[in-house]
Amino acid sequence: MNASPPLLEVMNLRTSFAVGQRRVKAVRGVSFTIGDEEVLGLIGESGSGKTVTGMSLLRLLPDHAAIEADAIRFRGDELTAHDEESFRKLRGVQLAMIFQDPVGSFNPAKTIGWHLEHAILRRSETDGKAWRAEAESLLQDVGIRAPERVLSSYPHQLSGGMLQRALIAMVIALRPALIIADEPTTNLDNLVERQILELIRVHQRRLKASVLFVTHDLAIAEDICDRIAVMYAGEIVEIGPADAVLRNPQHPYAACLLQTSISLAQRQEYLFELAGEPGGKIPDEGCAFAGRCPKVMPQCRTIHPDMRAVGPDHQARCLLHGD
Amino acid sequence: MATEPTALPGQPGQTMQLRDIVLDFRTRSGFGQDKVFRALDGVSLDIAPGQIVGLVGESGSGKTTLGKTMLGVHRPTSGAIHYRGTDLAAAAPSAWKPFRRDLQMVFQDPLSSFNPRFTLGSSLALPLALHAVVPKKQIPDEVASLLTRVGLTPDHAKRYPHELSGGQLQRVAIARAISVRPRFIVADEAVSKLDVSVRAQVLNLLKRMNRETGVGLVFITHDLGVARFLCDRIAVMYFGRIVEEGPTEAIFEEPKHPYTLSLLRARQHDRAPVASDADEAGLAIPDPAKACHYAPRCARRLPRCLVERPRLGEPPHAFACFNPVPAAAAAPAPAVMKA
Ligand SMILES: Nc1ncnc2c1ncn2[C@@H]1O[C@H](COP(=O)(O)OP(=O)(O)OP(=O)(O)O)[C@@H](O)[C@H]1O
Ligand SMILES: Nc1ncnc2c1ncn2[C@@H]1O[C@H](COP(=O)(O)OP(=O)(O)OP(=O)(O)O)[C@@H](O)[C@H]1O
Ligand code: SF4
Ligand SMILES: [Mg+2]
Ligand SMILES: [Mg+2]
Repeated sequence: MNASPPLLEVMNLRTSFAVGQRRVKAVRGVSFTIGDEEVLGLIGESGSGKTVTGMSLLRLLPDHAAIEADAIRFRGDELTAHDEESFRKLRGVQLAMIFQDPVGSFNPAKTIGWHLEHAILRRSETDGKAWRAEAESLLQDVGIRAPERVLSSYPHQLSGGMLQRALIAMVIALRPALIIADEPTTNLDNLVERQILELIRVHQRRLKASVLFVTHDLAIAEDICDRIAVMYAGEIVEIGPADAVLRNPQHPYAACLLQTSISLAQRQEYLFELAGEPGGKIPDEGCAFAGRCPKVMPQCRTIHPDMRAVGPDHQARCLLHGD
Repeated sequence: MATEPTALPGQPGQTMQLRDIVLDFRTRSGFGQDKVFRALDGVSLDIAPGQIVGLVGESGSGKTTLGKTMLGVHRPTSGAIHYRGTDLAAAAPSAWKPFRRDLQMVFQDPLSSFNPRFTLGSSLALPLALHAVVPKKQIPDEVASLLTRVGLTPDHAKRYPHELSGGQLQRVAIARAISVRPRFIVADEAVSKLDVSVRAQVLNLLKRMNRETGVGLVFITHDLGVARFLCDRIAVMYFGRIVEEGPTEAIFEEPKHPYTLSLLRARQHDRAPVASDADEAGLAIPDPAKACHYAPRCARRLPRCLVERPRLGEPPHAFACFNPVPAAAAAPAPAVMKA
């Protein structure tokens, strides 16, 4: 092969946590690639391992987490081979994360201005004084109409959505090559959300960045993502081009997600509910979704399905699709 | 098992009435003088038992602040909060005490609302014991059943807050709020971190609870599809004020305020620029306190809007605008993606 390697290549990522005497397997063999200037969406059940996947890639998990992978390559460079010191130089400059919970990304004792100053000055080319103008214009870009007030505010003095936007401004200031954005717009009204998505898109094209975009909003996923991966119980159960996955889902879990989203639009007294318990125990063998799947077959309870091709560049982890 | 009967809708005096609430935040500027930021600017709202009122609107417009003010977390600078025969706004903080159990909140940021050193089981057990909701011996069973009702497993009781995903913790927060069988719950972005399928389950649970026990809900959300499904009435906030308030269908079918219209339009993911955002530059507003807050961004602005503040009109469908959207212009927008 002579093509240049993809920006990010993740092979068989496994992350588990020690909880009491047990190990919780949060990510169970996740593999995907992200190309240059590509936006890969990550959707799926709450608790299925989306955030842990992102945090594992950036080594941001606490000590009781065990992370293993066959390979995590960034531009062909094996990340697992880096020691803490050299990895820290990559993180924040080449790789950055917008967290689901913005509060945790800020030092409560420092103003937003302090945080932005540090982010901007981390890119060495900015001189000591120019940061303020850049910070103000970044805040304006994320739809904040009183940047001076926000710069002098402490995190607890801002609304949830303002803090989320300050964090997005901070990450964009770093100009990373890969942004992991974990539900970056959950706290935002529609208008600001549109503006932020546009900003991420513009930033992504201008700086030729790639994005791993975690979201629960299927309409946004369709709007912003090139490809989409659907997670369930620590595994990717479907991956493919965004419109193929959202319009013609091949895994029954992905189909259920879509059906629920449609039921919300249909104005029923009660919404369509997927049978069974979410977040229940993952069976030792068979398909993780078998206990709740409307299309379950006897063999689903014993055979663990591998990824099967279901269309061009489109795969699903389901025994309905012969191999 | 309840040791106290749950509230039923329609009992007189039990509507919470907010009247002209003003809330100023003071922040130290470092150089002597304090700065004042007006987060709520004359807000009036009724929340009747058994009703689900949606609060939607711009990020930073004061939704969380209003929710917290209803529960006594913030004390308003002026205005009245009438509830069960008392004006809680004027009263001392201790006046809230008899209503603590009645009024519960699900916070926007669930992680900071749990003690990181307690297991979630202990965090859930505490209010159950404090308010003697069930006999002591039944508390572990009650905790397990609460967790199951929000789609988690009894096993989650042994975990610590940081050991759960964002959406899992959000559900524990909901379990905690419903555990004491309150009369009102302020739920701040309570389902926003949930995937659509778990979200459906939690929304059905909230709706069923409301229908069966008559619990009143103030539901803060930026998701208009969710608001439309769940809420009886909707109040739209912009910059510290309610700019439109009315029955859910009226808000969606006949939005009157230009801001409401642009919010509804923004849901159509058509990538078109947001049409109603006017050019903000070069506007001369003599006194911003006397102008319409939305005027700088409003496409329907009249000269009058720059010098006079529109009042929120009369129920059932109230709006604060001098040049409301005509019915024909407000073709309803689909709230959620079409298949
Ligand atoms: N520090 C931790 N210790 C133990 N278990 C954890 C920890 N962090 C996450 N988990 C568990 O790992 C699983 C995956 O969590 P993760 O946060 O990745 O979910 P998610 O897909 O991001 O969900 P959500 O959509 O709700 O944010 C969950 O079951 C969660 O309880
Ligand atoms: N403790 C505080 N001190 C100073 N200002 C505050 C404080 N809390 C909130 N504010 C300000 O009050 C305004 C309203 O904040 P609030 O959190 O109520 O907004 P919101 O409508 O809930 O927004 P979001 O949708 O982003 O959560 C914001 O401008 C915020 O900066
Ligand atoms: S009062 Fe005037 S400026 Fe304000 S929303 Fe209505 S038309 Fe626009
Ligand atoms: Mg998450
Ligand atoms: Mg808020």
